[in-house]
Amino acid sequence: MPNIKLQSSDGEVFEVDVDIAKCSVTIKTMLEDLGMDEDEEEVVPLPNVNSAILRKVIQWATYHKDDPPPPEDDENKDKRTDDISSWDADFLKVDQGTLYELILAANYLDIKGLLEVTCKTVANMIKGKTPEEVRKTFNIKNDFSPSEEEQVRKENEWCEEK
Amino acid sequence: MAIMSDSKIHMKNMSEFGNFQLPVDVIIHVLSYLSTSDRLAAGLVNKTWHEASLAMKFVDQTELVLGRPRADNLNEVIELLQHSTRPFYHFVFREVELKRNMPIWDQYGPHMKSLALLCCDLSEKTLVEIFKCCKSLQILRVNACRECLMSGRLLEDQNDIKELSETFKNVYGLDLGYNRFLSDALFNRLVATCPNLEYLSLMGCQISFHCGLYKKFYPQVYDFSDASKSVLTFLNTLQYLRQQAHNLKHLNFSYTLIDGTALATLSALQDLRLETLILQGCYQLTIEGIKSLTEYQTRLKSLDISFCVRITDASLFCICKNLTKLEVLRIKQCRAITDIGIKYIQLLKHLKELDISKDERLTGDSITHGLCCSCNIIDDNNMEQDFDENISFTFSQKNHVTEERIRKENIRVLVANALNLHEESVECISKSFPNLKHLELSYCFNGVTDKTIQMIFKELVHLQILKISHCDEVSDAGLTGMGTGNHEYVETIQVVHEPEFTESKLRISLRSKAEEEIVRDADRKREIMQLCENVSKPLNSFSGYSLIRLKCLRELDLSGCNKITDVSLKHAFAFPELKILNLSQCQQITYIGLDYLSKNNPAIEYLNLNRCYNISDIGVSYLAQRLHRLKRLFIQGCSQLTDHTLDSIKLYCKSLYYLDTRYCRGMTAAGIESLRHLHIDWHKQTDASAESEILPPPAPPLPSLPSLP
Repeated sequence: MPNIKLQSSDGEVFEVDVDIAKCSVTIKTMLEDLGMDEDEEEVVPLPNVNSAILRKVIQWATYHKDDPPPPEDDENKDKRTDDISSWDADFLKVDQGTLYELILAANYLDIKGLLEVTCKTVANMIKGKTPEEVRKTFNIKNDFSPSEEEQVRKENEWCEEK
Repeated sequence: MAIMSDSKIHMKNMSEFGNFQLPVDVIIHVLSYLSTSDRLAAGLVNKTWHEASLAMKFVDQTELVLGRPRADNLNEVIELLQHSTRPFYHFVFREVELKRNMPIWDQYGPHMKSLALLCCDLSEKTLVEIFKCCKSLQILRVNACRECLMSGRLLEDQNDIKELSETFKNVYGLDLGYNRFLSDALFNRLVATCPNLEYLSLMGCQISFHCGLYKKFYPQVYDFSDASKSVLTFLNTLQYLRQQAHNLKHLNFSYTLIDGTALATLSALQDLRLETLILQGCYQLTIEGIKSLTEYQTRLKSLDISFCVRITDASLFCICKNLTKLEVLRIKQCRAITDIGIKYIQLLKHLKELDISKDERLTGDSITHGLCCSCNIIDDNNMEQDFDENISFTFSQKNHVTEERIRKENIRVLVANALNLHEESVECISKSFPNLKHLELSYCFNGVTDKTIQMIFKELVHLQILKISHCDEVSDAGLTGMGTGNHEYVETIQVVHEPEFTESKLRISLRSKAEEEIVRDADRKREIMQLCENVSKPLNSFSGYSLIRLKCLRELDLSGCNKITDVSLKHAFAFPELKILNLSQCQQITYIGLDYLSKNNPAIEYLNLNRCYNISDIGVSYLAQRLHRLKRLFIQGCSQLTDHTLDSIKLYCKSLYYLDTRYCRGMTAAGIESLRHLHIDWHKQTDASAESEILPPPAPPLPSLPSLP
């Protein structure tokens, strides 16, 4: 298998199997657009991903390299969050910051499977929580003014599931 | 290199302050995995999350319900909406008086996608003016509105109709259900405003299907332009259906007197290709209509003939044989249907939802040898010639097996309340339909036992809705799985209940039967409790499957399962998404159970604890403090509760809008009246002897809103 080289934001270079790298639509498009030849010794720069996160991403992609492509989005389909595999669950036992960075990396690199499983993990952490608990869990600052917050809260009270 | 170090600093900053902000589109992605309630809560986190929560697809899933059962509040909410920048697309008004000068119409009218007016008071002039504001409307419901239809003068002005037919060009659904003053003339004017209808409902309208009556009101020849102002006839309706046949896909004639002949005529209309037909409670419906329906309307995907008492196995046979595209079939309380009829349902390979509740002739065999059975129906020719009760079923061939498996995997919803099922049939259901999301087996008290509920927990882990109301064989052992996995163990437990020759037992018991029952309950509770408490110790007795396995549970009905105690609430209840919970008449529950319940099930919005006589003020205070989303609470007949309960509700339940405190003798009128902002159902209890009074049945539901296909 031919390899390509990926360079993280902090300059570390990772050599990865092309097929594994191509699970990122961003990298795949880049390779196609640049017409990079697989034999060439070029390095693909990934300025938005640091080495710690890139290492994790590659680890994830390597494990999932033989997965069937994820099904197309279907808005009507009920979205499940209880179907995270035990490997993924273990893989995502990381601190808040790493989880966020993984999401950002998956979003930037356009790796659908990784984005899905990380977003599901975040969703599971939100279920049943009050807004204050969510803020605490993810260390998010509340930038509403008290009156704005009260307005949204009251509006929420009137919203029913259709 | 400069860019890299920049981003490095950026990263560092972020981790130092720990304030990671995800991009809006990623937050939207996260929110798409959440329920509406979770999403609304997440929208309050900060401004970015709020923005994400207002994505079009989310706003489209929520509606604004104004009016009952909430207290008098229309002005309050209108005031609130005036200061709101949030979009709302779907509005329901229930039992309120509407005026044109409410700012709602100008503010939201232009973007309103659906509007439902249920039992509202408004004049015909107001109605037309409101209509004119709704320029993006797609679905319109005007149900049981008397005032605007009573005079018969609605839309008298042809210019209004002309204008509205332009305004309403996107309206594809029109529901005129339960309007007793609807006449042919009014019907014609209303449908003329909606030129592009695909869905029409005349549910519960007084349509005349009798030829004699047609003659009386249309003595000469029927003339569409001179429609009657006093009656609603099928003759006139049919004329409209004929004109619109190429467009109409979904019809609802529930609770009308539609008979076999009328349905046959309707079904045979040229160009009519229905996908949905709802005919609940059509008592006059006969096989003649069903035969024609199944002959012409073979594209039907959804058919509801619940409460149609004249439907027989022969009709069901026609349906299952010809309507092969059916995905939804509801035949609740079709009392003539037998086990033989149910067998044909396996011909429906695309079926997703099935309701066979209260079909009282059915036995457990309808499941084991009918629905779940992998039989192949042969002798096709014979069947086509005429309906023969003895059509033979043979066991499956090899290539048939895959097909059968797919059929069973398709089924998502099975509603089988109040059937005389045996344990075997419930086991069969658990094993046959692995993807069930919604299962109802209420009042199947012979079938749903500790043993079979274990099968459900083992196999059907995707369940979102489970209702086993009044299955009173189910106990803590079944719900927690403790001691049930190993059947020998169950027996040993049961042995414990045999009289023991202890000193106390040797005395002659002076207890009443009821008392003994209470003692037995207590023993049982203690034993399961011990098992649950010891579970952390290694090499414990093999445990079975707990209710906790149903991680996606959103709605659970255990009302009347009187053997359930705090033990289950402690060990088997922890659901992040549980929204609706009914524990009414689970009389052994106390504050201890409510303590755990409220800790582990934070998403509960609807909680029914009617006649849980053992709950106390402290129990309700746990609920009030922890269930921050609680909207409706039922504590009817909980006689231990006092004004302290009302105090904690007043203090903590910020989202609550409905409270039922009928027959709560411990509460004072003053206490109840102090909760002004709530809609409360309560009685002043004056008569001390009323204790033995039988509680009235729950109030009939308000006109329901069947969802559009």
